[in-house]
Amino acid sequence: MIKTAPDEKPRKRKGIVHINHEYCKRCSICVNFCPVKNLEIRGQKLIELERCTACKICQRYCPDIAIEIEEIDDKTVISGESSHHNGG
Amino acid sequence: MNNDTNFKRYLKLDLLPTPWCPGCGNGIVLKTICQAFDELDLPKNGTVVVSGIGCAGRSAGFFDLDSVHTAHGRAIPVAEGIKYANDALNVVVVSGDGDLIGIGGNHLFQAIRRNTNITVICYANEIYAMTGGQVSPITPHNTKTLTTPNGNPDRPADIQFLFKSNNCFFARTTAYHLNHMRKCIVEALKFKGFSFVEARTMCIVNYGRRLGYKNSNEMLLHYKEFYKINDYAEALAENEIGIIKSAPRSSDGFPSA
Ligand SMILES: Cc1ncc(C[n+]2csc(CCOP(=O)(O)OP(=O)(O)O)c2C)c(N)n1
Ligand code: SF4
Ligand code: SF4
Ligand code: SF4
Repeated sequence: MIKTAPDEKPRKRKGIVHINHEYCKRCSICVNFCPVKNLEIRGQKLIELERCTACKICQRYCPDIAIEIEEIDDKTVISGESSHHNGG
Repeated sequence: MNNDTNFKRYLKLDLLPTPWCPGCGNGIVLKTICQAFDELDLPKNGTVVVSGIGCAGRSAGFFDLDSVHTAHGRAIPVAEGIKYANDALNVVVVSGDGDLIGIGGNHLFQAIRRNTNITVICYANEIYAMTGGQVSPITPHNTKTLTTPNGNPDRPADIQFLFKSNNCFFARTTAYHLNHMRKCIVEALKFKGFSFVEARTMCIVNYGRRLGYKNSNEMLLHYKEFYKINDYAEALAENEIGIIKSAPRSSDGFPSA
């Protein structure tokens, strides 16, 4: 995987993927439809690779309401990261 | 979270996940029905869901609404009874094609004749799924199923004309065409009279796999490639989805308004 500079990655990332692992049946509909291959099933678990463009195809087609996209705008604080995505 | 998820207020979220197989299209139909309810802001106190038996029939219990899970094929007469007893209610039937058109076919025909002011959403997976994948009244010609291993020798029932000749509402849509499905359900709910939405949806486990589809995505892409939208036509060809034109479309409120 290509490493991007820490202040570059969030700029390309337009959505945060929220996965409800209790609802997710790992059917792979979202994995197969994601246009940027942001979703993968690894070790029996759906994960995201932090390059979501917020197209919401996954959210729309998920039969189990297990995946929701939070669009990132300038004010979004990405949890687990210490500063605003636009550099702070 | 936002407008995209407001529809969840119509579901019993604590009962999820549903018992359906991974990749089953029923969840897409269930979700789209809730989105249509949300778009029309149907009152939770004045809306009742009725289902028959089958995988699709299981959906009634997941609505956060009053619901009845009836005997096989009997959803429509129960729904009609509710409507005739209390006309103020919005009554919606959710069930499978085997339940509604096969086992309950006589009731469907009588409801068309009476033009009862209820809405039926048929989860049309073209199969009796829950019992293992037996041929249904809308399984396409030549299609292999558990009970037609050499291909279905019969033609599927083309029920649209029954609706048309009795001034009822008929629409066909698919789980790939999400906006279209929602529009069909919204128009069906607004229609004053008997309305029926045949929502083609994928049963990957007891139907798709037997036909060679590797996963649900391939079935969704088949819908995308096979079906063309032809709304308000005189009739729908086998490869067309849409709303039948001759139905008296009404834009002035819900059935019970
Ligand atoms: C009177 C009666 N006959 C047969 C059955 C067995 N049965 C249970 S589900 C089912 C098939 C339902 O098929 P469909 O309505 O197409 O729904 P799906 O499972 O495909 O969603 C059948 C035949 C039953 N429960 N009751
Ligand atoms: S489509 Fe939904 S249920 Fe299927 S793997 Fe993706 S999030 Fe999980
Ligand atoms: S919103 Fe689009 S880009 Fe983001 S994970 Fe879902 S399908 Fe992929
Ligand atoms: S058998 Fe088919 S219709 Fe029933 S839950 Fe499984 S995939 Fe869905």
